[in-house]
Amino acid sequence: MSEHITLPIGPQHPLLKEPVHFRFTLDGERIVDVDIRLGYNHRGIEKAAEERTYIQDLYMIERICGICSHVHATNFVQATEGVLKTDVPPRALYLRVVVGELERIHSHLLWLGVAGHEIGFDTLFQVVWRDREIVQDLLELITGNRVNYGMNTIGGVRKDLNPAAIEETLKGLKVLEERTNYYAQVVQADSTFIARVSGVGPLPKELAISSCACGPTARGSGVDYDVRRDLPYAAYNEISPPTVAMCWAAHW
Amino acid sequence: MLPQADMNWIKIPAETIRQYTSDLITKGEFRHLSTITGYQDGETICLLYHFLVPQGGLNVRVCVPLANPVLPSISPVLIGAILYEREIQDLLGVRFEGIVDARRVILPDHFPQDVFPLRKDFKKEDLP
Repeated sequence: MSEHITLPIGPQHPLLKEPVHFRFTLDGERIVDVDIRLGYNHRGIEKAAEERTYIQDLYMIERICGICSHVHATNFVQATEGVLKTDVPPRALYLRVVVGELERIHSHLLWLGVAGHEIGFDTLFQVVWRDREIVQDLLELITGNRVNYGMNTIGGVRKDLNPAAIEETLKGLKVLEERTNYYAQVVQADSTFIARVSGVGPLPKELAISSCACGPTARGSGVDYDVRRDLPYAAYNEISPPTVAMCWAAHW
Repeated sequence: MLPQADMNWIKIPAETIRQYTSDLITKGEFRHLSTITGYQDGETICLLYHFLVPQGGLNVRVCVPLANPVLPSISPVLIGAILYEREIQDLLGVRFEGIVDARRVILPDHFPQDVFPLRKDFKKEDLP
């Protein structure tokens, strides 16, 4: 009898947000190997992009991801502008940053809510996702859309910001700032929350670097890295975005 | 500004890529590898390694012949590269010598062994 047990998880499994397949090999309770398949949702977008025009590609590429749609489109227009050596008006670069930052806020709130849900803190999930509606509404106000904003185009952006929208956005952001500060206070003070996450699944700094982690994952492990500062694009070379991240897992 | 403004582009022989990566790490210059881009250019397959070093972006291009697309894997010196390499292995049919884990990651088990979807001669009508 083999000492190893194979434990398949996915492609459909309650733990998973998207269809992937893990074939774990277990030696007792230790995972000694994992075979992974990530292709279930692979739509062949690179191949499809080869057969379309640059403008058609832009709208397809915005649909790579439903959470980070603007950033994919931004990457694509920047690459295309680089090839064409096109100058983009400074106002358009700033508008890309505005939508990019609003997208970042909605994305971080989404994951904060999911993180709450995963540890059984569904109140956090519900209040955070309620607040996320504020930033979704702002994105709709500015771009006309809540998910695929259609803001970018090659050489600039497709929509301008008017004074009324600016005022509305600043108002919404003020509410979000207050709420976010409150949640930050709760997760640093609530003893049940801390007991649940402290020391769980720490990713040591060296491993975060060698496994090419980035964004909040890397910063949570103490890696001082932010693409907006270290390889600036759009108007980030003229702004210094504050870079913060904390991670309870590291506190063990 | 375009991010390209801060980037360096260099081309090195394909067989030196592992040593090159290893040297970046040893010298303390390696900060991040965003991804590896693979593409076919005629009878050549080229790979772009998108590094971040203290001076900014560093894009290292290596090319291998389409007829024998083999080069050293950098996964023994940088484990995070393994998913990038396995994706290129599946989709472009590049062989990475010394790769820590050569199993498929994107294509299903029943997909033909000698068909690579991102090569130019592959048409979506050919999908098995």
